[in-house]
Amino acid sequence: MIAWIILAPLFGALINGILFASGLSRRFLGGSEHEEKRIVGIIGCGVVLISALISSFLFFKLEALHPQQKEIIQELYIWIPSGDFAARFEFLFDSLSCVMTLVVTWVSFLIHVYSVGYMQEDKSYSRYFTYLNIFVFFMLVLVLGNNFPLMFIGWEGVGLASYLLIGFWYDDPAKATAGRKAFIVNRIGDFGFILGIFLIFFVFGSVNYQEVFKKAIDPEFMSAIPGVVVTTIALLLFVGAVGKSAQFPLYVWLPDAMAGPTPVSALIHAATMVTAGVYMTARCNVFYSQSPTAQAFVVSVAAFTALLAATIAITQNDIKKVLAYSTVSQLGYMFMGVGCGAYAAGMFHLVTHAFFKALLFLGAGSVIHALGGEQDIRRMGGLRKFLPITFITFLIGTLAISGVPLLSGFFSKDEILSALYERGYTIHWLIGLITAVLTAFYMMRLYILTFGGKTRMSEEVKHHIHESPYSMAIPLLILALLSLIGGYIGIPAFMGKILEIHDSNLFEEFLGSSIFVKWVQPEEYYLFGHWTLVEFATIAAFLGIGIAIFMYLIKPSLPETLAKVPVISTLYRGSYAKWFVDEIYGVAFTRTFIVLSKDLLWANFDVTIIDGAVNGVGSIARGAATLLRTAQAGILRFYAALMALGAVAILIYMVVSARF
Amino acid sequence: MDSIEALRSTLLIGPELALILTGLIVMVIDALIKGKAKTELFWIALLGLAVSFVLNLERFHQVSSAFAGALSLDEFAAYFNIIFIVGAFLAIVLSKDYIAKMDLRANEYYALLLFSTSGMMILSSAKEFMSLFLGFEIMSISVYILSGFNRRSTRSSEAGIKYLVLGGFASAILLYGIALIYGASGTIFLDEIAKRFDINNPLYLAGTALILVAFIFKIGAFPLHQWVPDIYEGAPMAVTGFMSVGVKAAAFAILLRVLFEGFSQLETSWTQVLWIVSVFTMTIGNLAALTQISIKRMLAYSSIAHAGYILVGVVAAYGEKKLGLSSVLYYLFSYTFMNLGAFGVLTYLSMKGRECETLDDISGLWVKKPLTAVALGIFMLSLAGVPPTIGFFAKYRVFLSGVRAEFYWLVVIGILNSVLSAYYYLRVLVYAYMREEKVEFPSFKPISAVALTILTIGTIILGIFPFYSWDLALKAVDSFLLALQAR
Amino acid sequence: METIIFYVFAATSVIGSLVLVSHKNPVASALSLVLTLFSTAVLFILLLAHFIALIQVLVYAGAIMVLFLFTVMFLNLRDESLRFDAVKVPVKLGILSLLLLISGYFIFIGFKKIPPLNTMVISHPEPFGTVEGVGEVLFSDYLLPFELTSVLIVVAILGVVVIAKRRFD
Repeated sequence: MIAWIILAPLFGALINGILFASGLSRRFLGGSEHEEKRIVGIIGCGVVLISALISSFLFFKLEALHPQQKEIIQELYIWIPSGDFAARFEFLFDSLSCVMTLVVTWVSFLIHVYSVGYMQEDKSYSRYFTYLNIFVFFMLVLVLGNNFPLMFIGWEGVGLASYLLIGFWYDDPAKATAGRKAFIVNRIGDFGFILGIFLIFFVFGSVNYQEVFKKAIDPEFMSAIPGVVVTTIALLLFVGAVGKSAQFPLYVWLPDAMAGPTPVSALIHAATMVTAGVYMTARCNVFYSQSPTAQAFVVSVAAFTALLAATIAITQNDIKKVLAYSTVSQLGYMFMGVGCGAYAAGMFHLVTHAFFKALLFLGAGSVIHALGGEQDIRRMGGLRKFLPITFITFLIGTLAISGVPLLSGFFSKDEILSALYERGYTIHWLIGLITAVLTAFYMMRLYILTFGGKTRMSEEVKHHIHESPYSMAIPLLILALLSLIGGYIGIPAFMGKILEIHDSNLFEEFLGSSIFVKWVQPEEYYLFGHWTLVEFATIAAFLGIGIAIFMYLIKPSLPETLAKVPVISTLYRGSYAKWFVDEIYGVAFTRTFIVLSKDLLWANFDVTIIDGAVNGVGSIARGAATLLRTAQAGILRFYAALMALGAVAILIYMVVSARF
Repeated sequence: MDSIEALRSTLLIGPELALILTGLIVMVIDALIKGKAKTELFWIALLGLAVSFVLNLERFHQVSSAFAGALSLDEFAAYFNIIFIVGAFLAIVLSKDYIAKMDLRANEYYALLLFSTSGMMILSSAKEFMSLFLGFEIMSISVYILSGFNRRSTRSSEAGIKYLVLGGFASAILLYGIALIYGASGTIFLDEIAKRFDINNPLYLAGTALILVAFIFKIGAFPLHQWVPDIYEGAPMAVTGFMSVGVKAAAFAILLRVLFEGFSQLETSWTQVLWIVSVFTMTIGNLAALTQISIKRMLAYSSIAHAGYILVGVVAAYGEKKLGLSSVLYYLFSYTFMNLGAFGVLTYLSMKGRECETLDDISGLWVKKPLTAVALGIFMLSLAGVPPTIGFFAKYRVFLSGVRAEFYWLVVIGILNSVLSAYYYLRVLVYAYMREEKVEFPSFKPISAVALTILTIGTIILGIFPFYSWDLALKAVDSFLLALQAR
Repeated sequence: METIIFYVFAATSVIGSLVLVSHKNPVASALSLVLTLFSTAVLFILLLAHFIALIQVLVYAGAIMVLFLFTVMFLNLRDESLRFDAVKVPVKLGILSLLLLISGYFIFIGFKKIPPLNTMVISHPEPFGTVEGVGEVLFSDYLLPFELTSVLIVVAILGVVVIAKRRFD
């Protein structure tokens, strides 16, 4: 049953790919392009819907299971049994993977539907849906696999799909380059990831989740393992997460990834693929919980990333770039959550973020689509009457991500901040708070500049403007709804008690069955209590929103004036230039490598030694081939003579070797 | 042996008899049929093979010996017989259109193919040297004739003569070896020979060596591989396909039987020999294949290389009997699919008077015949050992057994060679998919297409789900080893 | 006595085969093959395989060689038509001799273990080597090879037909 969740999109990809994308159908079956697009769209969306429905069904089944055994395992088959190491195609559906699967499938489905409208005019329609389905397939393999190799296969697979989709319009070299950049940066992270898996196998003798985790929480077994080993494993895995989930210093590919179609950005670079790292960390909670060092490292990197990205986002003018940096920042939040041990909180934010970030991206797509490709927010504005639905839904998304109370983002962000504080990461908590202010600020800024005030659109753009078709509007609405009410599954315990809804955090409880080491709140005195923390978060949100409204709506000339102030202008320029991180990388790494490669390795090593070796092998091969050819002159007697010689050689060898 | 035993034995060799009888029927019926098409012969031949296949299945349930111990009809033999029969079946299906295109005589063709297969089946069960030799000869001489079947082609005739002479040479060496062994032991039965084997008697050593040499010739391995490229290239395409899988499998079957049942005391020696043979075979095969423009010749060298890979499994059996032997059996099974498939595609694309041989001949295949190109692609990938095809699994098993048996260097060389081979297999795909069409392709032929489809699907499906066939191989080897121990 | 006969006829059979492969004239080659076959027949008699010896002379040296000679003469092959590589021959002969020497060495070592001819007690039942003896085992113990031989002959005939038959187009 679980297998079908995964196989459905695979079939979709195969059918769409083989029949349509390759052009076979047009050759053999005829049919107009329009018809074909309809079929492709139906298949592409349909298979994801199937996955989503099955996942939901399994969710209910899972719920009904005995709390001690909240997991469903399905073994597909054993592919390469070779002693202890068996490459088993085994899938695990427990609460953690359930959450991920539901998010992935349903959000994917909505985005697929959206894509039908968005990509309607595109000539590579079938290829798009094929790649999209391939992505969903691999993402599901990643979250549903019951062992590390499968997760890795999914990991690599989504990386591949991401590359294909970022560089979808490969005719534009810049876009193709972006795809390559994503792939290569990812690779660096993957290297750490794979080392982590090797280490796990080496230490635990297995790569299967159940077997590894069972050993990992067995105190007797673990007493023999030095702590530094566990820390190393945790850190190596985290390196992979840094690459895939765009944390510092490997986040640089994500903003560039905006070169791909906007629905792709929504799906892969907001809701699903980038969250793979968070999922992985949550899945391996048993390692992190036993290594405070690793935890501290993760939380610190995450906090730094969140703040850094937010500082860049406040000055960007491309609507998608703002959202991209926002994603990096929010991912930082998620890692802060899972890094400090609040796995449920981190995952919760993953879920809510999926809702509103997808919403925001799709909304941005709606705007871009309507404006005929315009992405610069300085040339937008006053879109309320043209794009009413987008206007409202985007607002909801903005408020949600800012952490406005009662919306989903509020609950999830607050969970994380509270968790940080309670576990003693006060500085990080503070950083998170500051980032929250920034988040609210840049999102509101984005909103105002895009939709509010008087329009700054050019005349011809105004001419073409139109609201999105239903296929694009409905997903927006659904996601907006989810962003509004989605938070209620994770109402923290103390709130729920007051409102007498239930006395524990539903989400946290549900997820609890996958978390091995539970956090026990020490009886300590805290400076701030629960409600106080909530107040801080709320103030942060409104502060940011307020400043943005002030700067861009009430006094629109303020930003320009501020920009002229010397200190601020330097900061502004730095932020706008993304703090020159890409440039630093260029000099430090890229150019070094190029120089190393070109002048040193290429000129000397490559040309002389490697090329020499390869050419040498080649000429040896050719020489051997020529020699063999003379041996194969075609003359019968020669063959017979050679055969006889060979026979004698073997004869002598056998006799001699047997005697001595 | 009295008449009851004779009768019982005759019934037991039903599968072989079925083929021989079918061959005779085909020859006789031919005289009664008018017209040139002669499709009846085709169906009769297939029917005979089907009957033989079904009868052969019995052997998995009941192991027996026939003709006073001359044949051992065990699961080992039965497994190989499956390879032979399936190979022959598909080869005949692929040949039908080819025969028509090249204007060959159908009846003798089918009859010889059937006889050859029956010879192979005798070989897989042979427990004494006389039947062994006769099976060997029946298989070989049929194939010699088939190689020279296309009398309009000088290359075919040349291949036939060369094969006859060199094969005769090898048969002579085989006989000499058998004679020496008999002279030393006084018996022709393998189990008796094993009992009387005396390492200190050089007659035994020499005999073993010579017999080994003859088998090395038949599997096309170094240093007696010279015949393979010329004969494979010259023989009619459909025949080459059949030869490359059936004869090789039969030769390996009898190699395993004779070495393990008869000459096990010399295991160390012949393992060493085969180690060297394997290394050189793989390397020479792969190196030579690199520069070939003719796909047919390239596949011939690839055949040599694959024999080298299979030998790794035989060598591995020194340390890991079960795993090594099973991997050999399994490799031959998978080799049937992929090699017959590759040759099958070329057969399919051959036109009257011109075989589809060189890279130019398959240029641009993807455009005109996409499905065929896909099939070709799958076979090439399988030969190169790319997952999830059957070729990958087979190589994996063989190399795994090598590692388990601690022949690390051999495996390393094997893997390097395998990587090397990817070049020339993929080059075929480059031409098929990315070059312009150079020659005309024949029209769709349903019967051949069916065979190719079966082969393609088999190559993939059995690669993704290899369990059943692998288990079967394990079972076959189990019964083989059990019989050895019981002695 | 038997030892002398053995050595003489062994020598002639070897000489005959050497001449066979090296002589320029095809008729001379064929005739030397006959010599070899006769010598081998004598050796068979020494091994008490009378029947085989007889068959050898009758069928092989008699019928088959006649056919050979007939074909050779029919094709009227001249000496020149068998080209001969003067340079390569010594090399090949050298290799061949080497082969023979080496195998001979091993065989002789082996034979040292086997008692010499005339002291070997060969216990054969009476009809060994006679028509009766061969026939009895041929149809009982070695039935399978016997029948398989018939298949082999069919295959050979098929081959002849394939190669020699005139095409009808």
